[in-house]
Parts: sequence; structure tokens; C-alpha cells
Amino acid sequence: MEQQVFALPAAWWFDAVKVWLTVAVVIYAVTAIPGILFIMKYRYKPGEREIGDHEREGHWGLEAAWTIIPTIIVLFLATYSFTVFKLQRTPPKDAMTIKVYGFMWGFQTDYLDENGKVIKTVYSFYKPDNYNAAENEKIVVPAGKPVKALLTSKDVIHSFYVMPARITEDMVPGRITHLWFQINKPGEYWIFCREFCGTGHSHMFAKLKVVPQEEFTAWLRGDSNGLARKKAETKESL
Amino acid sequence: MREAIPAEKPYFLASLREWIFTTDHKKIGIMYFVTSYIFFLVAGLFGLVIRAEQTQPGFQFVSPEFYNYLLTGHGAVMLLWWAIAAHIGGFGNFLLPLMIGARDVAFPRLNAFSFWSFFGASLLVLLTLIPGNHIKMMWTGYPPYSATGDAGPTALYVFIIHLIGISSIAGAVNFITTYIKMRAPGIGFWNTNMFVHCLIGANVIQLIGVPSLAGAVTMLLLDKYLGTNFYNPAKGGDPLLYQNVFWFYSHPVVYVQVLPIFGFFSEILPTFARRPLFGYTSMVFAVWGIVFLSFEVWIHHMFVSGVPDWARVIMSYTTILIAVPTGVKIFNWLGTLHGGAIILRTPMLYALGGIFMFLIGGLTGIPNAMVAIDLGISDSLFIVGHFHYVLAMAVTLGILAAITFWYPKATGRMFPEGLGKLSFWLIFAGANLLFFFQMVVGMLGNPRRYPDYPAIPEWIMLHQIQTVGGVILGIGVLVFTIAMIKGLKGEKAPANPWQSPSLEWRIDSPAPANNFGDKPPKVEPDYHPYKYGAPPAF
Amino acid sequence: MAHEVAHHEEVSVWPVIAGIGTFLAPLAFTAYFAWNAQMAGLVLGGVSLVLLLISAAGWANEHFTAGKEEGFGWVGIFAFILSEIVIFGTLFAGFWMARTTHANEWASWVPEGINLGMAGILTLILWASSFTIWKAEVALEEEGNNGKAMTWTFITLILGGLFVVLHVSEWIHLWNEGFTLMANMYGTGFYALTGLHTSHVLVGLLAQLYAIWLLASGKMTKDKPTMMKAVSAYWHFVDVMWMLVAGTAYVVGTLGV
Ligand code: HEA
Ligand code: HEA
Ligand code: CUA
Ligand SMILES: [Cu+2]
Repeated sequence: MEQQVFALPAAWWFDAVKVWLTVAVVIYAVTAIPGILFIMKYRYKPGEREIGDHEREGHWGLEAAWTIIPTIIVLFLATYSFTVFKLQRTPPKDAMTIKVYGFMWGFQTDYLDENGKVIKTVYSFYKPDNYNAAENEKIVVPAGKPVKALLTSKDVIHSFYVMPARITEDMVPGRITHLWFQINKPGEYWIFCREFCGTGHSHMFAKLKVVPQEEFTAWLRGDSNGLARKKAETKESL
Repeated sequence: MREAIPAEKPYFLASLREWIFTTDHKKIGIMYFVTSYIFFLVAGLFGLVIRAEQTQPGFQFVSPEFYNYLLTGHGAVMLLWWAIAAHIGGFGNFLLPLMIGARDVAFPRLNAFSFWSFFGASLLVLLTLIPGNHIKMMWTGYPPYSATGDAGPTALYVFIIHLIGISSIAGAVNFITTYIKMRAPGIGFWNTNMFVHCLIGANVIQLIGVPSLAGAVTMLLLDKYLGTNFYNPAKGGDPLLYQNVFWFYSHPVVYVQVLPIFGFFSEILPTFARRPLFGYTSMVFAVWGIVFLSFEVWIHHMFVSGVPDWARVIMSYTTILIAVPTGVKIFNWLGTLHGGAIILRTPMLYALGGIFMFLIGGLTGIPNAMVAIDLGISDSLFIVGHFHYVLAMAVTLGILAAITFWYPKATGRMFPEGLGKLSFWLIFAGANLLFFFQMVVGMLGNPRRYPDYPAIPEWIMLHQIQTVGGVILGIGVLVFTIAMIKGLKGEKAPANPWQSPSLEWRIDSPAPANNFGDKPPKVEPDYHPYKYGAPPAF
Repeated sequence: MAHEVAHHEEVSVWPVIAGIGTFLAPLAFTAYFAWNAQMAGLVLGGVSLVLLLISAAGWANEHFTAGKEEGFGWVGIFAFILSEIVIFGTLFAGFWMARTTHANEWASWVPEGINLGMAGILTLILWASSFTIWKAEVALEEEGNNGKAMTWTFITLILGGLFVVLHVSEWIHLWNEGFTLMANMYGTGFYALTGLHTSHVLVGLLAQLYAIWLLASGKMTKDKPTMMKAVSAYWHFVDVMWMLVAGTAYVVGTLGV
């Protein structure tokens, strides 16, 4: 796991998973251990223990307890998840915006300036038999800066899963959805399409390249996108 | 206990003509069951090929197109044939009239029609095996993809669902009417078998839910072949409409699948703990609570689909609340074990295994319901692991438990005990190896519906463990199947091998053709299906 | 049939024949649209229709010759109507979703020729027919008067027929104006809702025709009124559903855009 990577909203996500896992293990233990003990203790023994207890067919106190206590636990879990959800869905004010289009099969990433004008475009294309991305197909973002991604699709439904940030959102034609993430450690990470979209689904990926802010600024000004665009045109004319 | 019934031949000694044209609920039940068991084996084999393909990165055995076909077939057939038809069509038909002391269901001819409509759907599934007719849109069939050429013949997908739907609605109308109108005098709401409560609850869901699924796929059919715009965003339609209408049924369907299983557990546990079912009343409330809640939660399958945030939060709460009535059932089963005289026969092993696995499946449903966690694991193999725990474990073990439990009533023979136990341990071990590590690799990020994945070392190792589990599981199913066939020539069964007070055990094994004879059975005034008095006869 | 002397009839050929009929219908559609075998599709469709009609007739005949009636049909039809409501519900969901999310474009989709007058006339016709079928039910169940029940059912049939004729002419008119099923989501929703509803009207009319035959041949009497009850309940359902359909397809579709 990329726990050493400090990424958002992944950090909160990992906390939430830990909370759930603790609760689940405790509930499993509280339920399964007595269950197994009963199975061992109250075993049928010819001549000795041939019929079970016929007196107790229920116990209102117990039954009320195991209705009320779980209700409280699940309401707590849902409310906790709600608070995290608000953080996940609210991009910080200083976030930069990218717009990503899904298509069969690949991603087109537009970098927008403050006025929403496209200043650079990266195409991440489908490789039917490998997971290698050329340098100019990598989606580059600055480290330590929140990125808001507006998502939509050009054909069928896809999705945009930023693995290090543990966040997904579908890309739906005719709609613009969004998510945000921030990755603090430079490096290369996976982005996958997680909504089924046909033959190329399992190879619809992109590499997310996180670089220091200065490097990103230089990259954004640079002309590497000319190459990508030329490649896109040849692909599309095929 | 009851007057001798006229010596009637067992129901299954009938000519081929009588089998085909039969309207008898027992024969129809058996035909349903045999059809779905065969489809289970085929879909399971598909599952093993899927499993094999994922063992290593790269494409080893099948092309991505063929993988998509296998996965579509695996999901759809497992869900609609194995997890619905086997216990509702099969056991529901066989047991419902016997448990309420009726001669047959309310509309026997409609019942036969239900089966033949289901059989028609089975034939359509066989047609998709022909190259060129592979459906590759997954069991969920989301548009716009399912309306493109890449997805295969959409029409077949839609009509399979239509035929199954007709069969389910007719069946639901039939069962509900039967329960309301045909109980023997003395059987009331509060002394009905839990299986019957669960079955009727499940059929209420079917009645209200199936038309919604039928509507969703009909709109898909019209969009693809007649050019309507339901799901076409360019002309005012919306692809999310499909998902809403689809999940409005396809979430509740999971309780259609699991409620009868809860019914099986509730029949088998008291029998082999030799004591009454604990908390019968709260069990009944829990069933109907689940039925009611199940229609309020469908957005949890669309947490990342782009629906408004408020809808996600509301349905996150409603979803997680289902843990409460479900928990009530689990705790009541524990209460039943407490103070029992527990006998670990094959049906009991399967039932206990099923309950403990359901517990894992249920607890791994909780993070999916917590919307914040779901944003990170939706459409990953974690989800797949979650539902295999509930479906491939709880539901499957539950059906196998039911087979071994009512085998004497259906065949007049005892289920082979040794092979039964062996198959249980193989299936139990294999399935845990497979599906636990599926959840782990999903937590690490592995997306679902991926025949291929990047060569990340932990992922590869986790997939290899799963495949080992899959093979053990497959052998277990094979052993069970052999046992089931061998048992037909096995030891003869008495009328009531488990010494159960429940009505279906008061007639001969195998069940006579006319059930209880000409008159409804006499039910004592204080009848209750779980009054376990005498020790069993074995 | 096989065991007439025994308790219950245990075999029947009609469910199997009906099953084959329902299996061939999808095959016909698939052949026509997906396999490019139009001829085969038409033939299969024809065979399917014939099988369905034969089995319906045979089934009904068997039902009415089988002796006593248990009166379960009432519960059955009620349950069935419940599930029908949900089918309509899915189309309503589609219509409303489009109406709310595309409120801005909607106005440009509304055709000239659509008007509430026609909806009003159609509504009045259905109201009248709901009254007449109720009279028929009373005539049979309370007075035991088969002739009178027949007359009222017949009037209902005529009214229902009139509804269909007027509605179809309205469709043709709108369609020619360019307001087609394919034009936009209003067209899709409009024809889907009214079309599904009209298909139910047709089923209701067939059932009435059948009830008339049962009344005429004396198979249905005061003591065996389930079929009349069912036909009438279904027709009331079709009538109530029309208010919702018209309210959505006409009123919500055209007002306030
Ligand atoms: C029989 C089938 C079955 C059953 C019973 C369940 C039960 C549950 N499921 Fe599952 N689910 C599926 C079959 C099933 N599911 C399938 C097939 C899918 C995937 C479909 C697809 O996309 O292909 C799916 C997917 C799925 C999702 C969507 C995930 C996604 O796609 O992103 C979610 C989200 O909320 C979910 C949640 C739950 C919950 C909360 C329960 C609850 O009902 C579980 C309740 C039970 C317990 C919690 C355990 C017992 C309770 C106690 C011991 C009490 C104490 C407990 C607490 C206090 C927590 N399931
Ligand atoms: C009731 C439901 C049910 C059941 C019982 C199962 C049972 C199994 N499933 Fe199931 N599965 C689903 C429902 C179910 N599944 C659904 C709904 C999906 C999602 C589909 C989608 O994404 O749309 C899915 C997806 C799914 C995947 C995910 C693929 C992906 O996302 O890329 C995998 C992968 O391992 C898998 C494997 C298996 C296996 C190995 C079994 C085993 O338990 C099968 C056991 C049976 C047999 C093995 C067959 C019988 C044995 C023989 C005929 C003998 C011969 C064999 C040997 C000698 C070894 N399934
Ligand atoms: Cu794009 Cu999956
Ligand atoms: Cu669900």
C-alpha cells in the first residue's frame, strides 16, 4: 500500500477503513466466538444430552439489546462516513482544474487556465497488450497541490480512478462529474478506468506523473503537447 | 399422528408425458432445480476459466472479448438461475404447499407456465454460446455501452430477462395467493415456517421489483432497435435513468436471493440443535423489515455514478440500517444454538458454514455502504469479494444445506453422509482462500472486470492464491455433485428422519403424489413447526 | 385429465404450448432485428402468435370445465396489477427525469398540434366506460342477470374501441407533424407512455370480448363471477392509469414550458 505516500483524500480514506475494520473484527469476534463455543459445549450426547433446552424460546431483553446496539453502531459509522464524504467532495479553494474526457479507450486531459481556457492537452492511449505509457501520454500534476478533475465521456460510461488518492468517479456522457485529489510525493502512479466499457476496459489506464511545482510549470509551458496532438490526429484518422 | 393415506405411488414415478405436461408443484419444483443446478455447473466452470485467466498478468487462455462473454454469462446465470431459480422455483415449489398443508399451489397451470417460460430463457442462454451471439455487456448491461455493436446482440440479453421476468412475476402471484388462500386450518401467520415467511417476503419483492428491471431493459431494447432516446443524452435522455431503474430491482434482488437462505438456516438449525427457534417473533419482523428497507437503498450501487451528493448520503444511511434486522437474525440463530443438543450432520455443517460466511459477507457490505469508503473501492475486486461471500458462500452453502436436508423427502433416500461432509470442507476451505484474497487485492486497488492487470508483485501473488482456492472449491462442488447422484441409489429414508414436527415431514418419503391425501392435514391447535421433542431417529 | 377420478387435474398441455409461444416471440424479434433474417422473424412471430392464441383458448376452456371455482383469481389479479403499476412507474421515471433536467430545451420539443382538448375527450370516454363495466359487474353479481351484464360489457367494449380509434388518429396526426418516437425525449416519453397504456386498453378489450362470450355461453354465472371481477378490476386500473398517463404526457408535457 502507498501508505507512505501522503495523499488526499486517501489519508482520510485509510482512517475510515481502519475504523470499519476494527468495528467489523470486533463484531465478528463477538458473534463467531460464542457461536463456536456453543457448538462445542452443547453437543448431542446419546443418553446424556438428547434434546435441547425447551424453556427459552426468546428473551425480550436480549432481543432488544441486539437491535438497539447495532442501530447505534451503524448510525455512528454512517455519520462518520458522511463527515469524510464532505471532505472528499469539496475541493480546496486553491485547487487547479483539469478536465478529463474518457473515450474507448483512453483519456484526454485538458489543462485549463483561470478562465477555463484549454492551455494544454494530453492524450493517454489504449495499449492492447501492455501497461507502458510514453512520456507525452502521462498526466502530469504538481506535487502538494490539490487538483480538481472535471470528468465526462465522449462515448460510453467510463470512470476515473486515481489509485494513490483512493478516489473514483464515473465519466458519464452528457454529464460533468468531478473529484479532487492531492499527491504530495513526486512519482508515477496508476489511473484506471473502473467502469466496464468493453474490450479495452482492462487496458484503459493512464500514468499519473507527480512532479515538483517548478517542473510542472515548465512542463505546462513546454511544447510536448504538440507531439501528443499529432499522435492523436493520426490515431483518429485510422 | 395422522390417518393412513391411501397407498399412492411416489410423485416421481410418472411417465415422461406426465412429467412434461405436469402441473404438480413437486415435479415442477424438481424440474426447476435440475435446470438451475446444471446451469450452476456451467456458470461455475465459466468462473474457473475466469479465475485461471486472472492468475497471471497478460492474456493466457482467452481473449478479452471472450472473457467479457464468460463473465457476463457467469454473473447473469449465477444470479438468475442459481441464486433465484434453484431455491424459489425449486425449493419454493416443492416445499410451500407441503409446509402449509395444501394440495398444490393456487394456480397449478400458471405454475407450469412459469417453469416453461424459465426454460425458454434457459434455451436463449444456450443460444448465446454460439459464436457471434456472445453477449459481452456484463450482467448489469449499462447503456450506452450495451447499445453499441461491441456488446453483442442486446436483444438476447433483454429477452432472457423478459422470459425470466414473466416466469418470476407469474410465480410470485402464484405463491402469494397460495399462502394467503390455501393454508390448512390451524396454520396462521404466527406458526408458519420461517422458510415460508422468507419465501413470501422474497416474492413480494419479486412482484414489485421485476417489472422495474423489465422496464429498464425494454427501454434499452427500444433505444437500440427503434431509435428512441431514453438513454441518449444528445436528445434529452439519460444513461443514469437505466441505472436507477435497474438497481431499483437489482438491489432488492439480493434479498430475494438471500431471504430463502435465511429460511433454510432457520429450519435446519432448530432441527439439529433439537430445540425451538430462538426469537421466532423478532425473526418474522426482521424478514418484513428487510423486505421493506430493500427498496430504499438502490443508490448504493451508484455512489460513484455522478448522482447528486445528497442522494448518496441518504442512501448510505438507509443501506447501513439493513444491518440491524439482518443482525437480529444472526443473533437469534446463536440463541438457538445456546442450550441445544447439537448434531453436526451434513445439513447442519453447511448451514453453520453458511451463517459464519454470511457474517463476513455482511460485514464487508458495511464499508460499501459507508459512502466515503465506497468512493475508493467501488468497482474494485473488493466488491466482488463481498458479494461472493454472500452469494457464492452463504447462498451456495445454504442451497447445498437444503439439498442435503430435504433430499429424503424428494428422493426417498438419505444423502451420503461421508461424501457430504468431505464436500463441505473442500468447498469451505477453497471458497475462503479464493474470496478472502479477492477482497485483499481489491483493497489494494485492483479494478473488477479486468482480465489483465499490471504486473504488480503483490497482486500477482494474491491472484495465485485465489486460483488455488478456486481449484479446491471446484473439486468440492464436483464431490457434492457425485454424492447427490450416488445418493439416489443409497440408503432408504424413513418418513421423518430428523424427527421434525414440521408438516412436510408427516407424509411419506418420498412425498406421495397427492401430498396429504384428499383432505387437508389435521393440525393440532398448538402446532408450531419448531417444537422439537423426541431425539432423532438416526 | 389423466386422473379425472382422482382429486386434482395433474397434467395440462396448455402451459407447455404457451411456453413455446412465449419462447418463439423473442426469437422472432431477435431474428428480425439482430440476425438480419427478416423472413424467418416474421414466420416465427406468426407461429408464436398462433400458439399463444390456441393455448389461451384451450387453457381458458379447461379452466371453465374443471368444476368448482376456488375464487383465488381475485387475489391473483390484484397482485398482478401491483406489478403492472411498477412497469408504468419506470416510464414515468424516465419522463420526469428528462422533464426536470432538460427544462430549458423542453419548449422546443413540444409540437404544435398537441392539445389538451383531445386528452379531455379521451378521459371522458374512459370515465364513462368505467361506469358501464361497474354496471355489468352489478348486473352479474347481484342480479344474476347474464343478459344485462352482457349489454353493459358490450357498451364498455364500444367505448374502449372508440378510445383506441381516436387515440391512434391523434398519434398519426402528431407523427406527421414530425413529433416522432425518435425526435427527442418528449416524443419518446409521450409515445412510450401512451403506447404502453393503449396496449393495456387492448388487453382489456380482449378480456371483455372473452367475458361476453363466457356470459353468452353461460359458463360464467352469478356463482362463478371471478372472471367478471377480474376484467372489471383490470379495466378500472387502466382507467386510473390513464389519468396519470394523460396528466404526465399531456399536462406536464405541454404546460409551463
Ligand atoms: C445475497 C446477496 C447480497 C447480500 C445479502 C448483500 C448484503 C449487503 N450488501 Fe451487497 N452486493 C451484492 C450482493 C449482496 N449484498 C452484489 C451481487 C453486489 C454487486 C453487484 C454488481 O455491481 O455486480 C453488491 C454490492 C454492494 C454495494 C455496492 C458497491 C459498489 O458497487 O460500489 C454495496 C454498497 O453499499 C453493498 C452493501 C451491502 C450491505 C450493507 C449489505 C447488508 O445487507 C449486509 C448486512 C449484514 C451484516 C452487517 C452482518 C450481520 C449483522 C450483524 C452481526 C449486526 C451487527 C453489525 C453491525 C453493527 C455493523 N453491496
Ligand atoms: C450466486 C452467484 C455466484 C456464484 C455462486 C459464483 C461463484 C464463483 N465465482 Fe463469481 N461472480 C458472480 C456471482 C457468483 N459467482 C457475479 C454476479 C459476478 C460479477 C459479474 C460481473 O462483473 O458482471 C462474479 C464475478 C466473478 C469474478 C470476477 C471477475 C472480474 O471481475 O474480473 C471471479 C473471479 O475469480 C469469479 C469467480 C467465481 C468462482 C471461481 C466461483 C465458484 O464458486 C464456482 C464453483 C462452481 C464450479 C467450480 C463448477 C462446478 C464444478 C465442476 C463442473 C467440476 C469441474 C471442476 C474442477 C475439477 C476444478 N466470479
Ligand atoms: Cu473505460 Cu472501462
Ligand atoms: Cu445492493
